[in-house]
Amino acid sequence: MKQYSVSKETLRIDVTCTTVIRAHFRGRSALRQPETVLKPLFDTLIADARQKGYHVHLHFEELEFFNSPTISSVMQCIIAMRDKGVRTTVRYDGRQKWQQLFFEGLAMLRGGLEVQSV
Amino acid sequence: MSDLNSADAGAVVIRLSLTPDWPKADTVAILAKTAASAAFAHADLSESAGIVAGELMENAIKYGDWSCTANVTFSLLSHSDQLEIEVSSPCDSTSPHYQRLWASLRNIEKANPRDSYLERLAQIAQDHNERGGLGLLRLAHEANCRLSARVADGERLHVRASLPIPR
Repeated sequence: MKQYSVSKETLRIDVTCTTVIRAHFRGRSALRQPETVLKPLFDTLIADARQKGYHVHLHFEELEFFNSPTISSVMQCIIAMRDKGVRTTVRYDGRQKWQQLFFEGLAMLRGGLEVQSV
Repeated sequence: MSDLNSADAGAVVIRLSLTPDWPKADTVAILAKTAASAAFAHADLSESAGIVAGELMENAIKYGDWSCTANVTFSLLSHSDQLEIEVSSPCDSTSPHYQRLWASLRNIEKANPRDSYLERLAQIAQDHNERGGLGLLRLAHEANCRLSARVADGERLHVRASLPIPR
Protein backbone atom coordinates (compact mmCIF):
# COMPACT_ATOMS: atom_id res chain seq x y z
CA MET A 1 0.00 0.00 0.00
CA LYS A 2 1.42 3.35 -1.01
CA GLN A 3 1.06 5.92 1.74
CA TYR A 4 2.33 9.48 2.12
CA SER A 5 1.51 12.84 3.64
CA VAL A 6 1.85 16.43 2.52
CA SER A 7 1.74 19.26 5.01
CA LYS A 8 2.25 22.99 5.16
CA GLU A 9 1.70 25.09 8.26
CA THR A 10 -1.55 23.80 9.80
CA LEU A 11 -2.80 21.92 6.72
CA ARG A 12 -2.05 18.20 6.37
CA ILE A 13 -3.15 15.82 3.65
CA ASP A 14 -2.76 12.07 4.23
CA VAL A 15 -2.90 9.87 1.13
CA THR A 16 -3.36 6.10 1.02
CA CYS A 17 -3.46 4.06 -2.15
CA THR A 18 -4.92 0.55 -2.24
CA THR A 19 -7.49 -0.17 -4.93
CA VAL A 20 -8.81 3.33 -4.32
CA ILE A 21 -6.76 6.47 -3.73
CA ARG A 22 -7.95 8.28 -0.60
CA ALA A 23 -6.76 11.78 0.34
CA HIS A 24 -7.78 13.00 3.81
CA PHE A 25 -7.59 16.76 4.33
CA ARG A 26 -7.03 17.71 7.98
CA GLY A 27 -6.44 20.86 10.01
CA ARG A 28 -6.74 24.43 8.73
CA SER A 29 -5.60 26.06 5.53
CA ALA A 30 -4.90 29.77 5.82
CA LEU A 31 -2.14 29.61 3.23
CA ARG A 32 -1.38 32.67 1.14
CA GLN A 33 -0.48 30.56 -1.91
CA PRO A 34 -2.19 27.21 -1.39
CA GLU A 35 -1.62 26.22 -5.02
CA THR A 36 2.07 25.67 -4.25
CA VAL A 37 1.00 22.72 -2.08
CA LEU A 38 -2.19 21.60 -3.76
CA LYS A 39 -1.20 21.65 -7.44
CA PRO A 40 1.74 19.20 -7.08
CA LEU A 41 -0.38 16.97 -4.83
CA PHE A 42 -3.26 16.84 -7.30
CA ASP A 43 -0.84 16.29 -10.20
CA THR A 44 0.43 13.20 -8.35
CA LEU A 45 -3.09 11.98 -7.54
CA ILE A 46 -4.14 12.40 -11.17
CA ALA A 47 -1.03 10.60 -12.50
CA ASP A 48 -1.45 7.66 -10.09
CA ALA A 49 -5.17 7.37 -10.74
CA ARG A 50 -4.74 7.38 -14.52
CA GLN A 51 -1.83 4.96 -14.47
CA LYS A 52 -3.68 2.39 -12.36
CA GLY A 53 -7.25 3.19 -13.35
CA TYR A 54 -8.13 3.93 -9.74
CA HIS A 55 -10.98 5.96 -8.34
CA VAL A 56 -10.01 8.94 -6.11
CA HIS A 57 -11.86 9.75 -2.88
CA LEU A 58 -11.22 13.22 -1.47
CA HIS A 59 -12.18 13.45 2.22
CA PHE A 60 -12.76 16.90 3.69
CA GLU A 61 -14.86 15.85 6.70
CA GLU A 62 -12.08 16.47 9.22
CA LEU A 63 -11.06 19.80 7.81
CA GLU A 64 -11.54 22.71 10.19
CA PHE A 65 -11.14 25.72 7.91
CA PHE A 66 -10.25 26.89 4.38
CA ASN A 67 -9.52 30.54 3.57
CA SER A 68 -10.82 31.86 0.26
CA PRO A 69 -7.50 31.40 -1.66
CA THR A 70 -7.66 27.72 -0.64
CA ILE A 71 -11.28 27.45 -1.73
CA SER A 72 -10.31 28.79 -5.17
CA SER A 73 -7.32 26.46 -5.44
CA VAL A 74 -9.18 23.34 -4.29
CA MET A 75 -12.01 24.11 -6.70
CA GLN A 76 -9.58 24.42 -9.63
CA CYS A 77 -7.68 21.26 -8.68
CA ILE A 78 -10.86 19.18 -8.39
CA ILE A 79 -12.18 20.45 -11.71
CA ALA A 80 -8.80 19.67 -13.34
CA MET A 81 -9.01 16.14 -11.95
CA ARG A 82 -12.50 15.73 -13.37
CA ASP A 83 -11.45 17.15 -16.74
CA LYS A 84 -8.62 14.60 -16.95
CA GLY A 85 -11.14 11.80 -16.67
CA VAL A 86 -10.37 10.67 -13.11
CA ARG A 87 -13.39 9.20 -11.33
CA THR A 88 -13.63 11.37 -8.24
CA THR A 89 -15.77 11.30 -5.10
CA VAL A 90 -15.76 14.25 -2.73
CA ARG A 91 -16.93 13.73 0.86
CA TYR A 92 -17.58 16.57 3.30
CA ASP A 93 -19.29 17.28 6.60
CA GLY A 94 -22.60 18.99 5.87
CA ARG A 95 -23.03 19.77 9.57
CA GLN A 96 -20.31 22.38 9.22
CA LYS A 97 -21.96 25.40 7.66
CA TRP A 98 -18.89 26.61 5.74
CA GLN A 99 -18.34 23.15 4.25
CA GLN A 100 -22.02 22.84 3.32
CA LEU A 101 -21.97 26.18 1.47
CA PHE A 102 -18.71 25.54 -0.38
CA PHE A 103 -19.45 21.98 -1.45
CA GLU A 104 -22.97 22.98 -2.45
CA GLY A 105 -21.25 25.29 -4.95
CA LEU A 106 -18.94 22.52 -6.10
CA ALA A 107 -21.85 20.10 -6.47
CA MET A 108 -23.49 22.50 -8.91
CA LEU A 109 -20.45 22.15 -11.20
CA ARG A 110 -20.05 18.44 -10.68
CA GLY A 111 -20.56 16.74 -14.09
CA GLY A 112 -18.42 13.64 -13.46
CA LEU A 113 -17.93 14.22 -9.73
CA GLU A 114 -19.77 12.60 -6.87
CA VAL A 115 -20.21 15.07 -4.02
CA GLN A 116 -21.49 13.48 -0.81
CA SER A 117 -22.22 14.86 2.63
CA VAL A 118 -21.82 12.70 5.73
CA MET B 1 -19.01 50.47 23.23
CA SER B 2 -15.52 51.25 24.42
CA ASP B 3 -15.42 49.65 27.87
CA LEU B 4 -16.93 46.71 29.64
CA ASN B 5 -18.62 46.57 32.98
CA SER B 6 -20.26 43.80 34.94
CA ALA B 7 -23.69 44.61 33.47
CA ASP B 8 -22.49 43.70 29.95
CA ALA B 9 -23.24 39.99 29.92
CA GLY B 10 -22.07 38.48 26.65
CA ALA B 11 -20.13 41.54 25.52
CA VAL B 12 -16.88 41.66 23.57
CA VAL B 13 -14.29 44.42 23.16
CA ILE B 14 -11.06 43.51 21.43
CA ARG B 15 -8.70 45.97 19.74
CA LEU B 16 -5.37 45.04 18.20
CA SER B 17 -2.66 46.84 16.28
CA LEU B 18 -0.42 44.39 14.43
CA THR B 19 2.40 44.25 11.95
CA PRO B 20 1.07 43.05 8.56
CA ASP B 21 2.39 39.49 8.65
CA TRP B 22 0.31 36.86 6.86
CA PRO B 23 0.18 34.24 9.68
CA LYS B 24 -1.43 36.81 11.97
CA ALA B 25 -4.63 36.68 9.90
CA ASP B 26 -5.31 33.13 11.02
CA THR B 27 -4.28 33.87 14.60
CA VAL B 28 -6.83 36.69 14.66
CA ALA B 29 -9.45 34.43 13.04
CA ILE B 30 -9.02 31.88 15.82
CA LEU B 31 -9.11 34.64 18.44
CA ALA B 32 -12.37 36.08 17.03
CA LYS B 33 -14.00 32.65 16.85
CA THR B 34 -12.98 31.82 20.41
CA ALA B 35 -14.08 35.20 21.80
CA ALA B 36 -17.48 35.02 20.08
CA SER B 37 -17.94 31.45 21.30
CA ALA B 38 -17.15 32.46 24.90
CA ALA B 39 -19.43 35.49 24.81
CA PHE B 40 -22.43 34.17 22.90
CA ALA B 41 -22.17 30.36 22.87
CA HIS B 42 -23.70 30.28 19.38
CA ALA B 43 -21.85 27.96 16.99
CA ASP B 44 -22.85 29.66 13.73
CA LEU B 45 -22.02 33.13 15.05
CA SER B 46 -18.60 32.13 16.38
CA GLU B 47 -17.79 30.28 13.13
CA SER B 48 -18.83 33.35 11.13
CA ALA B 49 -16.81 35.68 13.36
CA GLY B 50 -13.70 33.59 12.70
CA ILE B 51 -14.22 33.50 8.96
CA VAL B 52 -14.95 37.24 8.74
CA ALA B 53 -11.95 38.18 10.89
CA GLY B 54 -9.62 35.97 8.85
CA GLU B 55 -10.81 37.17 5.44
CA LEU B 56 -10.73 40.88 6.36
CA MET B 57 -7.26 40.51 7.86
CA GLU B 58 -5.99 38.65 4.78
CA ASN B 59 -7.39 41.34 2.46
CA ALA B 60 -5.80 44.11 4.52
CA ILE B 61 -2.40 42.38 4.56
CA LYS B 62 -2.57 41.43 0.88
CA TYR B 63 -3.84 44.72 -0.54
CA GLY B 64 -2.74 47.37 1.98
CA ASP B 65 -0.20 49.96 0.97
CA TRP B 66 2.80 48.86 2.99
CA SER B 67 5.29 51.18 1.28
CA CYS B 68 5.64 53.02 4.61
CA THR B 69 5.89 51.48 8.06
CA ALA B 70 2.38 51.02 9.42
CA ASN B 71 0.21 48.50 11.19
CA VAL B 72 -3.05 46.75 10.48
CA THR B 73 -5.70 47.35 13.13
CA PHE B 74 -8.40 44.89 14.12
CA SER B 75 -11.43 45.38 16.33
CA LEU B 76 -14.21 43.08 17.48
CA LEU B 77 -16.96 44.90 19.33
CA SER B 78 -20.44 43.88 20.35
CA HIS B 79 -23.38 46.25 20.49
CA SER B 80 -26.83 45.27 21.64
CA ASP B 81 -27.70 43.01 18.72
CA GLN B 82 -24.69 43.30 16.42
CA LEU B 83 -21.16 42.00 16.41
CA GLU B 84 -18.93 44.40 14.50
CA ILE B 85 -15.59 43.38 13.07
CA GLU B 86 -13.42 46.09 11.55
CA VAL B 87 -9.98 45.96 9.99
CA SER B 88 -8.03 48.96 8.78
CA SER B 89 -4.90 49.30 6.69
CA PRO B 90 -3.14 52.09 4.77
CA CYS B 91 -4.46 52.26 1.21
CA ASP B 92 -3.43 53.55 -2.18
CA SER B 93 -6.58 54.93 -3.76
CA THR B 94 -5.06 54.57 -7.24
CA SER B 95 -4.49 50.82 -6.95
CA PRO B 96 -6.73 48.41 -8.91
CA HIS B 97 -7.40 46.46 -5.72
CA TYR B 98 -8.86 49.55 -4.11
CA GLN B 99 -11.16 50.11 -7.09
CA ARG B 100 -12.16 46.44 -7.08
CA LEU B 101 -13.09 46.59 -3.41
CA TRP B 102 -15.63 49.36 -4.01
CA ALA B 103 -17.00 47.56 -7.04
CA SER B 104 -17.39 44.37 -4.98
CA LEU B 105 -19.19 46.21 -2.19
CA ARG B 106 -21.59 47.85 -4.66
CA ASN B 107 -22.25 44.46 -6.25
CA ILE B 108 -22.87 42.80 -2.88
CA GLU B 109 -25.35 45.51 -1.97
CA LYS B 110 -27.35 45.05 -5.17
CA ALA B 111 -27.22 41.30 -5.84
CA ASN B 112 -28.28 38.14 -4.03
CA PRO B 113 -25.24 37.05 -1.93
CA ARG B 114 -25.68 33.36 -2.70
CA ASP B 115 -26.00 33.93 -6.44
CA SER B 116 -22.96 36.23 -6.49
CA TYR B 117 -20.86 33.73 -4.54
CA LEU B 118 -21.84 30.77 -6.72
CA GLU B 119 -21.29 32.79 -9.89
CA ARG B 120 -17.77 33.70 -8.77
CA LEU B 121 -17.03 30.07 -7.84
CA ALA B 122 -18.13 29.02 -11.32
CA GLN B 123 -15.83 31.64 -12.91
CA ILE B 124 -12.88 30.42 -10.85
CA ALA B 125 -13.65 26.81 -11.74
CA GLN B 126 -13.72 27.59 -15.45
CA ASP B 127 -10.56 29.66 -15.67
CA HIS B 128 -7.41 28.59 -13.86
CA ASN B 129 -6.01 32.10 -14.16
CA GLU B 130 -8.90 33.46 -12.11
CA ARG B 131 -7.96 34.10 -8.49
CA GLY B 132 -9.24 36.37 -5.81
CA GLY B 133 -12.42 38.36 -5.57
CA LEU B 134 -14.08 35.58 -3.60
CA GLY B 135 -13.45 36.65 0.00
CA LEU B 136 -16.03 39.43 0.39
CA LEU B 137 -18.66 37.48 -1.56
CA ARG B 138 -18.01 34.55 0.75
CA LEU B 139 -18.54 36.75 3.79
CA ALA B 140 -21.81 38.19 2.50
CA HIS B 141 -23.14 34.71 1.71
CA GLU B 142 -21.63 32.49 4.38
CA ALA B 143 -21.57 34.86 7.34
CA ASN B 144 -24.74 36.70 6.38
CA CYS B 145 -23.08 39.98 7.33
CA ARG B 146 -23.49 43.57 6.18
CA LEU B 147 -20.28 44.95 4.71
CA SER B 148 -19.18 48.56 4.47
CA ALA B 149 -16.00 50.54 3.98
CA ARG B 150 -14.73 54.05 4.54
CA VAL B 151 -11.47 55.93 4.22
CA ALA B 152 -10.48 57.78 7.38
CA ASP B 153 -7.49 58.67 9.55
CA GLY B 154 -5.58 59.92 6.51
CA GLU B 155 -5.67 57.32 3.73
CA ARG B 156 -6.53 54.32 5.89
CA LEU B 157 -9.16 51.99 4.55
CA HIS B 158 -11.55 50.66 7.20
CA VAL B 159 -13.61 47.64 6.18
CA ARG B 160 -16.40 46.66 8.55
CA ALA B 161 -18.63 43.62 8.79
CA SER B 162 -21.73 43.66 11.00
CA LEU B 163 -23.14 40.31 12.05
CA PRO B 164 -26.52 39.96 13.76
CA ILE B 165 -26.27 38.36 17.22
CA PRO B 166 -28.99 35.70 17.56
CA ARG B 167 -30.84 36.01 20.87
